[in-house]
Amino acid sequence: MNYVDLNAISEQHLEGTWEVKNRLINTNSSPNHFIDVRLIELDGCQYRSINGKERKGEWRIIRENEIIYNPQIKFFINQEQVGNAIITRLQSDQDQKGDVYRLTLYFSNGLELILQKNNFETTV
Amino acid sequence: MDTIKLDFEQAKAKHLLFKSRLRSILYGVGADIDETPVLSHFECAVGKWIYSRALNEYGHIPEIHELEKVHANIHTAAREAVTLYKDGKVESARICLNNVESIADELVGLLSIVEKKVEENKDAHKYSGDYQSREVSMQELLDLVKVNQELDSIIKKQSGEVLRHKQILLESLMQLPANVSILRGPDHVIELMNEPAKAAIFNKDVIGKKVREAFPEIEGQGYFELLDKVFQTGEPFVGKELPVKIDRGNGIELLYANSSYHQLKDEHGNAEGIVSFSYEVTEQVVARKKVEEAARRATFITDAMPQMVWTADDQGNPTFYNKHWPAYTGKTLNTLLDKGWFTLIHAADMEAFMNTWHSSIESGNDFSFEHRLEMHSGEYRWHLTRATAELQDDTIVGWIGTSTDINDLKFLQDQLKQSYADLEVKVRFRNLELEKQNSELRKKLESAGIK
Repeated sequence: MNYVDLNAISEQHLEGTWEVKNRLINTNSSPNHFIDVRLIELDGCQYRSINGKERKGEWRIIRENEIIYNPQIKFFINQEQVGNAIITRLQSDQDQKGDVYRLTLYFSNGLELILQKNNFETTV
Repeated sequence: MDTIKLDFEQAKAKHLLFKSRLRSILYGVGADIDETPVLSHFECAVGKWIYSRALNEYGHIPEIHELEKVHANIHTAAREAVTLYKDGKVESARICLNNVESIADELVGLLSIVEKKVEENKDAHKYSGDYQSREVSMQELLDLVKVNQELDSIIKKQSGEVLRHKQILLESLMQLPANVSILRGPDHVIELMNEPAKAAIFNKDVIGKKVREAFPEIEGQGYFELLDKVFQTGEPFVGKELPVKIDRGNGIELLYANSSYHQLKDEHGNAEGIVSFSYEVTEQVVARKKVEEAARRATFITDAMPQMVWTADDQGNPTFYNKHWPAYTGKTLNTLLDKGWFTLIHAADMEAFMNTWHSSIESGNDFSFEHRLEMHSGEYRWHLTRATAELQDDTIVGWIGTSTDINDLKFLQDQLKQSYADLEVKVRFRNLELEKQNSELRKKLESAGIK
């Protein structure tokens, strides 16, 4: 198990299909549509989320070093910010089939999601 | 003297000549003695008489054929005796001489029987009576008398020396600091005990008694059977720290002794008794058992501890590991003792560990260090190793140490540290968001004219 240095996290690390493996909801969490999301797909600057119904929008990484050192991901739909989260962990594991990544996002409403992405080599 | 009687008397004289020659060889008298007549039953005077004359003249008497066989047997025994003598086994050769004597008596008896039968039937058979080729001359008989006188003198002298040596040996045995006892016969009658042996049984009156009667409490402990075996087989027995429950006058006591039993033989090589040597080692055995018990308990206690326990000498060389060490490292105790467990410390921790350890060895201060330690699978786990010096009169005589697996604790500590850091950043992040929301709300209120 390796932790990826938070300062070294790039878009390439984050692109791919992330499955929600764990979800921690604060009792004070104000609802947003990530609360019950099951899958998040990040591709280029586009994102797609599924929580029963599909939502599409844009995402980007924000870095500011004055108050928060952790990289932040902001989600937008039609220019409107619908979600803001900091990355608290990105860990990688070697599996027999390939690499497995685990991403921990902490949203500004107190929601914490643990996502998993498999970079398995596909065989034909 | 009639011719037949003369013939047989001469044969007996020839036989006597043979025996004298044999004894001369075995007692080292007359270096120029011709051994051929002693070794070959054809070349000796009696043999020549049997094969050139007696078988022809007296062949009709059955005992003469038996006499021929007995005569051959005498020479077989004589050859064996001479071989033993030449191999330096003088005592065995002389014991063999007794065997020759015994067969020789048989030969003389047969000669007398044949002579008697010849006398009884001399009228029925015609004997040649030709004794011109007499093998025993007067000079030979005179020489024989001389040799026998010399032999008697030597044997008497040697017998005296043997007796004197036996007496010296016996006196030496009696003066040994060990317990020495001499048991006689198959019933092991106690014939002699030296002073230490008597003192060991508090001068209990046992002389002249059979061992089984003197010490009935020993029955069932295997000693009587052991004595029987030594007496019967001649195989000596040597035993160390043998336990024996014995009554020395104060009830049954458990004693320990180093003992040996040896068969005693008479001059004919027959078993006549046993000589027993023993040292009581009860105090040493009891003291050693106490030490062993203490060591066993210490091992039990250290094995019962969850930590890996080790000890080292004053220089830090390992001297003991509890059972958790082989289980964790996959190494044998011998390998660990030989190469030391320090070789299993992670390379990144090694230098600092050794510096701290050597510093403790020099100062005697307690040692404490966190390091990674390789386990049998090749995985490294964090351990906290602590050691304390064992002092005797302010001098370090060794170290006792424990190595405790703190890997899970380390992981939890790291997790906790990370969680605090996470919590801090989460709070800052949420405060920032709240501030932004607060600022936006204020702007909206201001634009709406609400203050």
